[in-house]
Amino acid sequence: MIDSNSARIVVDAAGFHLDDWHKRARFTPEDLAGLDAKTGASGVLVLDAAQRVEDLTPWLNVLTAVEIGFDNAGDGRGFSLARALRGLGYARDIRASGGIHVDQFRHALQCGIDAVILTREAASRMPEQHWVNAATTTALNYQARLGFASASWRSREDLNL
Amino acid sequence: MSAHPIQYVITANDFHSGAVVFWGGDAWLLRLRDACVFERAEDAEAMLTQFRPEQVVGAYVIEVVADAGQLQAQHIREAIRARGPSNYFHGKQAEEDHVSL
Amino acid sequence: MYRYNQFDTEYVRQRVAIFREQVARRIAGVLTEDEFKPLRLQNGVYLQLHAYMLRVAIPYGTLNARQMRALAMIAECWDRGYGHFTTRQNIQFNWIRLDDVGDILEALADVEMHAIQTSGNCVRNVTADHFAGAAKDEIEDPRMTAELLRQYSTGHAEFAFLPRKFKIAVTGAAHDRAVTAFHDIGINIVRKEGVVGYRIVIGGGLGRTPIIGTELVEFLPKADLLPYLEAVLHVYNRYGRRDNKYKARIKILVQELGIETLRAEIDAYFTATRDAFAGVPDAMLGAIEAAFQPPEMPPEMDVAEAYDLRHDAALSPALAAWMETNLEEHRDGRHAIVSISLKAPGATPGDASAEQMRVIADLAERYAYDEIRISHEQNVILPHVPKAHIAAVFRALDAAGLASANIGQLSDIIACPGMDYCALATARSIPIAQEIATRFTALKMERDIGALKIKISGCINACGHHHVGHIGILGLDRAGVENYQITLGGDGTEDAALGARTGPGFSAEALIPAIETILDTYLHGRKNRDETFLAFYRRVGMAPFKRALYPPTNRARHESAA
Repeated sequence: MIDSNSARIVVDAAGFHLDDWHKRARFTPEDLAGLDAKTGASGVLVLDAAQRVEDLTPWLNVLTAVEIGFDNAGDGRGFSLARALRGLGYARDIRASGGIHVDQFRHALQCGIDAVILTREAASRMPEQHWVNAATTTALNYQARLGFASASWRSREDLNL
Repeated sequence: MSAHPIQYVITANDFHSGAVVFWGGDAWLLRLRDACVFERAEDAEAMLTQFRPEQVVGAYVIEVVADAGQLQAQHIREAIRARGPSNYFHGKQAEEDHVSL
Repeated sequence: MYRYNQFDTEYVRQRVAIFREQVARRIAGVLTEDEFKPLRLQNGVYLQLHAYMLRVAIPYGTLNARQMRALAMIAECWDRGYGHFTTRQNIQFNWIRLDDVGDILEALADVEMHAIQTSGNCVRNVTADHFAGAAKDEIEDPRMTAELLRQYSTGHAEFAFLPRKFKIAVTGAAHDRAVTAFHDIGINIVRKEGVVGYRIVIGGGLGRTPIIGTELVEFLPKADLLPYLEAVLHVYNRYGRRDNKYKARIKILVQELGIETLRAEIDAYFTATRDAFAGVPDAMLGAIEAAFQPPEMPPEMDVAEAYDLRHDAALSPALAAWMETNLEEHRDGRHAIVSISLKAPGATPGDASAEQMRVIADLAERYAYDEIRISHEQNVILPHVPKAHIAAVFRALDAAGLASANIGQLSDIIACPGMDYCALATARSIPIAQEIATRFTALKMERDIGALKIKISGCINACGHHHVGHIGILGLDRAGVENYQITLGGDGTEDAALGARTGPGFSAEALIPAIETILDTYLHGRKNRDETFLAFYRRVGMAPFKRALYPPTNRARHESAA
């Protein structure tokens, strides 16, 4: 059990929060077959960046929390994974964890990721104000201008930018 | 290949200017001839972890030989870094010693 | 040409501000070099051998006089008075301080330019036919498509961290001057039953594994271009290899999955997401289309209809020789396309001094409707020059050392910066280009040889396009010593072909005699002067070249050296 002192930080477009998922059960796509709807709804599905999300379609209306692990800052698969999930109609929370930093926050938000989970170390190195500033840069978006604005760019709409 | 023994020097690029620099023992210097020379590669390698990233980028060890008292890089790439490009008289070959970073 | 709207301006300014702030965080130690590197690369900043290098985007190779003058100013203020035009229609400055990059980007933004996505694992500057809008054999100006793709790919959140870089080229003409078969995506504008659309080629590329692209879609409706490319990039981003840098380009994914499986994967995503794409607003399409209309030609042009260039040619042999190689027919008979060679024998291919840039800018403004192009062959083009002004343009170029009459010939060599500048290079390429050009022009062989493309790369990454050179040269490192492999018969046009290796490589000293042997073999063996080097090679194959290059007595020695 993680106590709140060591709990990770979650950052969304509004700023830092304590990780409110840390007490929820965590499971992977392999666990889905044996999972009841209640656990599915109360737990966190943890996805590896290589996951084929198209196989998850039957569970997408049950799940409420998806965490996508980024291997390292140079690995952008997680962004496509989030877009794919949004494209398939998944509308609840998506968070990113692992090797993702403040200069990728714009990318995360625009791809339909709601928040990034940070270690304490990362949160102290990358202060809250940098994340909030980065979130404002989503407003200038060529793709949205060209007709790509859609449900998959959800966070943009939520922020009313 | 030269008959002179191979020695070792630490090189990097200055973070702000990108200029080629050599470790002089207590500071980064612009000239290969001012570099601190190591007899053993391990001793030079051991130094690499201690450099400050806000000062230089990508420090590494190169092989040199002292030919008639002049330090010369063994590899053509390092010779070009120490001298400057061959198509223009730019870079180290054209710079006065007092040029700052 | 396309002018920035309010959005473009704001976007570029914001990117400058973001980059300044990133540099500040790097200096303060908040960002590590590993975190900072991809950020600087996405703004065109490399750390090369002697300094930082800034690669500035010239979208589809098009710029105006004001922009060219800004490049000249940057060369003088922050570099050493020159710039290097690249095989991706960009310009590189070789002697940049990181501390100055913010100011340079600001100066670029002042003239509607930037360095965004000129490096990094993202969609790079989109290239196009350098004769776009002037070529006779064109279905549609490819720059409309290229500009749309510039906007689409700029800052695309999903595709900023692809497995590897992603290069797109567009051509609207039958003759492929944009090397589309050797791009991650090559786009050919085609007409089918009267409708204009796209033929999409995927997975071409040079580098360590040179591959000619495969047709992905025979005919794609224009309206589907963006969502379809979105599907291509999405599939590549998820399934492209990330375990090995040399296997990370989409060409390897095409090879490993097979074109059928890959196409099915792309089509599935395209079908699933197309409906969510609202389509590009008509106003935006209209603005792009309007930007690439032919220049308005003044009424006195009607008089020029009768202008006969033979009159000029008769007056000056130098002008006649230059017109023979450096002029191309324009779709409008009153105009010509002028290629300005940046390949004076002995000079660095693709380099232009600030002064030369200003001369070109002045000429463009005065005579050529303020339009300039950069070709992937590292030359400058004035795409619309009234024939009546050709002689004046030539005289001005000649005075600036820009009148080399060698387009498409031996000394019009493509060369990457090589080990004189590039951190990745394994051998020098510039001195090789200089030596070849000087040697064979001194021997007066160039005119006799005629059409010939020599391309030199200083490492396996093939920025010098050596695989598609009629004669390709690849510089490698053999135990700290430069060694050069030669390939023959490459072709980057619609008849795409990869060059074949002659055999073991040559030392820097042995390389020029080897090139001479190759040229002699051609000159002595060709049927007549009309048989080009490439045609000769295609007829006779490698054997006679091999025999001449590696005579039996020497063969053992060569092989042991390699």
